Amino acid sequence: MQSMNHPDTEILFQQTRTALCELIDPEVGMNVIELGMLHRVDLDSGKLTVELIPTTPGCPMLDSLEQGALHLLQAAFPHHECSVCWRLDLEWSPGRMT
Amino acid sequence: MTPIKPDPQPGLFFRWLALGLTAQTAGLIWLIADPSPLLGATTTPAALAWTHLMVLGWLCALFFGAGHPLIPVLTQGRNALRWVPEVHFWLHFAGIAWMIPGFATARYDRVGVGGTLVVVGFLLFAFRGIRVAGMQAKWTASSVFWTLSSFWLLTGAGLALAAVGQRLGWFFLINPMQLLGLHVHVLLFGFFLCMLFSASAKLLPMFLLGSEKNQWGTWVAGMILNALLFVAMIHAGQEMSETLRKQMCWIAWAVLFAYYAQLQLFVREGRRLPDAGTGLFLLSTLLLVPAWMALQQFHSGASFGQQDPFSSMRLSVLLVLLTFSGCILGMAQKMVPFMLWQARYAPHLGKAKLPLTADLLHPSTLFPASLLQLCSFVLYGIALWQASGGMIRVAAMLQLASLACFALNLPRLVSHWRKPRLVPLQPQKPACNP
Repeated sequence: MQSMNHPDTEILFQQTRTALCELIDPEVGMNVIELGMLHRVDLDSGKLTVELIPTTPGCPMLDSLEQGALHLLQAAFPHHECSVCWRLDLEWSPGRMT
Repeated sequence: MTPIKPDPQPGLFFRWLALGLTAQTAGLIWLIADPSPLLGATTTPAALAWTHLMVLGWLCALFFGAGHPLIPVLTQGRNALRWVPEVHFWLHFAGIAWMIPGFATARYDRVGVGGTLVVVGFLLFAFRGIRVAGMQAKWTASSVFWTLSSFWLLTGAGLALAAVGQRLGWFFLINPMQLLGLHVHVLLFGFFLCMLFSASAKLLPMFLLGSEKNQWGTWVAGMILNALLFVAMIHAGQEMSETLRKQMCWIAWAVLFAYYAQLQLFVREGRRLPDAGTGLFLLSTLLLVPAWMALQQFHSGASFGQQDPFSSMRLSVLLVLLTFSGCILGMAQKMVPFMLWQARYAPHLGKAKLPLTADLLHPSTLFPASLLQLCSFVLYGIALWQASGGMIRVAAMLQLASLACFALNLPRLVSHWRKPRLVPLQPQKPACNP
């Protein structure tokens, strides 16, 4: 997992992790952090971008998870514009799970 | 926020499911009343009607119900041609409603009309699959075998129409029995098995939380299988030499070895143990071993206790169909709660604490249901081997009992559909502005 080079980067990253802990994959019963899906958090000019890696490309849950993540991030970071993007170019592997 | 796309379409999936379960129940009751469709000649009106009721009414209905929403998943493409599943459902429904009474009453003009409707549905399904697969950036084992299975589906359907045309005397292509044999081989070993390889390559790593990367077994199994099918197609209408047939039968074992090696890899690398649904899927694939043995006996004259070569062909066909039936039922145990969850709970993700998909079914019903299915499959195999009508009746009863076990979940599913269980999340403390 990566985060931006910012003095408060670790805090931001942890806050994002805490927020996304509520986002549970209904099939496996684990949250996206335990599944190792969080790839990168970036804050640029007040815009918070969270990059996630799907456990499988073409997963039918992607839309729902994206909406859920956006909802949680906007609740946790009300002063930022939040966005979620899927890194379909990266491959998830079981080794990412915590 | 962009709105959640209403896909997969749960209402349509449940309609296909209802059609499939109705056809299966009717077919099983028929078998309990009269097991002759599985014991007598394969081309009698009753045997043809029963076979098409089970294959088109039960297997294909559940397969298409699950297949349409899975097209973008298996092919990793974007969703497209969203009108196709609805139109396909009505074509298939009308087609089998015409076709099956046509077979039962030996009215082949009705079979031709119904069969054409079904084939147009197949065309739409295959067209959507190939279109979606073509929209993706990278071809994978899953999308390649999906596309190949669509090709074999169309070939098999074309052969069926040709058989009807020959029967009605419109034209003559090749020996009708050879045409029928090719139709059965292409659909069973081309369409069903390629689809099985495609589904295994994608769904098993997804459900077992494993890696999709290493797919060598799927590639080897699928490529050998397709090569054998193309050789069979090239020899259509000619007498294949006995040596070639024997060689092809032995090479076919490599398909199974490679496929099982791949399944073992998925299970070993996965972070989750197989549940009842995945277990039923995996165990059903073991039926391919006796199916291969029976096929080898039919094609090469090797003896595994059966003397009548046509009964070994029938056994092989039935075992492949049961494999597919078990795999579809296993996947249905995953898809039914997922579809309900998608329809009722997905919009609340991140806003409320939601049940898991597994919570929408009674876990205590799933293992007995899967076990009963597997027992019935074994019993069917023995019944055909022994040519025992009584055992066929018992196997059909076991399958009905298994369906009844699944049906015990209905009240819980309806209750979640009517009143979703939503527990609001604790309000989050807004994070400090970094």
